[in-house]
Amino acid sequence: MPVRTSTSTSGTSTPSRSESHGRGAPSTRGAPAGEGSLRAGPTVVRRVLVRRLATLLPLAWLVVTLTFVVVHAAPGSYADTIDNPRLTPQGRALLMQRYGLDQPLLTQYLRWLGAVVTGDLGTSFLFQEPVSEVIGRALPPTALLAGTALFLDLVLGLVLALAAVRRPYGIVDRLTTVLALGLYGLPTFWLAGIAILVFAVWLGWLPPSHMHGIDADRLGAAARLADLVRHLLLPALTLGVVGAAATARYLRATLLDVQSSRWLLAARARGLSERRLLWVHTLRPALLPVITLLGLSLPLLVSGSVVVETVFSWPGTGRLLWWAAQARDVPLILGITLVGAVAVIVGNLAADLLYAAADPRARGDA
Amino acid sequence: MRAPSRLRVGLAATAALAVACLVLPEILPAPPANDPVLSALLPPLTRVVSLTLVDGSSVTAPEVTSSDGAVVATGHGRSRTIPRGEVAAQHHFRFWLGSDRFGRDVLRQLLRGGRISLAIAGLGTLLALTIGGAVGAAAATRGGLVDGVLMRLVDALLAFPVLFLMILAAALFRPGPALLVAVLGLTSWMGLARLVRGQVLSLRTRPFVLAATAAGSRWHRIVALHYAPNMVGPIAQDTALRMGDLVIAEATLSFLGLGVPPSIPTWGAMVAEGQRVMLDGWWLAVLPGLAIAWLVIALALIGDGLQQLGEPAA
Repeated sequence: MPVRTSTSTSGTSTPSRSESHGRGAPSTRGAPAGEGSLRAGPTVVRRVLVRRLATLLPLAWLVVTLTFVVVHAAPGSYADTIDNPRLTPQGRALLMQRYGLDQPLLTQYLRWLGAVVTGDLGTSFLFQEPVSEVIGRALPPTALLAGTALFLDLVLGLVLALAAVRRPYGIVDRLTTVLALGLYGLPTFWLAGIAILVFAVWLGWLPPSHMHGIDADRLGAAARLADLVRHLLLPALTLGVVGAAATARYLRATLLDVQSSRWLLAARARGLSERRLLWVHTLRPALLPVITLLGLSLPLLVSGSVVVETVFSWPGTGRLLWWAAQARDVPLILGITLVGAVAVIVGNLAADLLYAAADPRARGDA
Repeated sequence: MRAPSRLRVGLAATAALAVACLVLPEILPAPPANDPVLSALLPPLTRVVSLTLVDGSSVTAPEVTSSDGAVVATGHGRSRTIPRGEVAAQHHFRFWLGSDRFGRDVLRQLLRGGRISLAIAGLGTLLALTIGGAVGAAAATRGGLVDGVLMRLVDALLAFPVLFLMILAAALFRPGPALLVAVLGLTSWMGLARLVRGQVLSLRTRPFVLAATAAGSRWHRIVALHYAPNMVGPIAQDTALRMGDLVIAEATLSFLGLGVPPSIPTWGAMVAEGQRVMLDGWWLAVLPGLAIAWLVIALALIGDGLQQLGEPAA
């Protein structure tokens, strides 16, 4: 039976908070049987890749079209957000004309879509700069924050899970369960605030916000990097710890499954060292579903960084979207949405491919 | 069958919170008409004395002493001296969870905010349940093009970070309770649609449904007797977890200033407000966060318990 040939975006259930909280293994749910033939190896991977790439474009198109509809269904426009009493009706009309907002919606839509196809995301009303440049500036900080958070999530989650399954229902196990449940219930913005209060204000260990200190420009390369790491630590930990709790719970279940497996018993009977048993025969099969979990947690991570970026004044895409929405900056909103959607879809695709590469059963030949 | 302990704990905790939010503000002693200067930012458990003056106004302070013919009320680093003759009455009041920077009772604010949070999350969940159920059922029973279009729409919405969508919608439209319910409901029905569709598709080929169809049962009978009982469990489980998600989402939007207007205290807005004065009173930010966690964890326990209930006894 194919363990997981379906896609994350169309196969399993919702990538919401509840998904990461669920303790059953979601990998087999909803995988349509019979998909994927007996042909093994890279050809199948390539076929999956082609099919998935073909669905990527329509999906991204649907997402931005929905956003376009939502943005224009809302009352008001960019001109209304300009709070200037000297703006005459003529001036307002001129602005609307200048930004193409006086055109019929369909014309605006087709124009924007046509430009996007040629790689032009338009000009931001707010920044008076190409949208691609504005987003290009905000992407590295977001990638850094999300990447670090994801790394912490995985490492902390794995360590906690390994500690928990040493003695199931022991003290460590119970503590992780309680911790996971507590972190699941506490809102991220609350944790972020408490983290600032404790580590920045009371203990004074870490800076409370922003990506660099005010004197960062005058620092040498090494000091500058240290400054960046100090600023990165609190937001990344906030985001990572929340994920780690869920990852630990999930890994605990798969590790327990593996520990009671017959292949591990056989390997132990052959007299393999405990270290080899752990690294090769336990971790490898247990970590496989984590790849899928990573794909599913992408939207979560993007959403989570909106909150964390806002609280910590982190100059990333999340905060940018917030500004763009406030200012009704249509090209910027659409641009960020497009980039976010593509990132999530590509991430899911990458997770599926990785899975297919790592697990022969997922290629449908088991 | 005995209900799993998680389910019982979760139900009890949810019910306790709901009852407290609905009933307690009506029966607790009313907080004294406040004097923001003297009774602001009092830590939890502080007992205050409320003096009613002859002219009808009142003074509330944690510390009241009398010295030759006058009453001195002290609090928040200030004091006020009132001639004894002007004091008409005095009574005691305890700020169980402290007071905020306007001298308001945090417990009462929390309970009243809980009503809003519960109502918005509950109605949003109901909306999601309705839309998700309808879309899922339609996709499963119509099949073909309808199924394809609806499920691709679900894919597209799921590929979208939900909070992005919520922030976008909440920032673009004017905030208000009704809008918030709509935004929450319209952005969280996709998982349910998938669940319902999957359930219907798998139940449709089960022997007892086939038998009922072959025996000539009418469709509403099949739905009521065969589909519904088998789908209630998974849907209830999903709904409990989803409501927890929506509680967090509502709090997040309120925290970002995109929720209900600031005149209505909700938990998320209280955390935002509390974080502004966090150095003067930790309890203002901490307590609403714990209230949110209480509700979300209780709902998660219900979801877990329902899942255990649905699994064949291990």
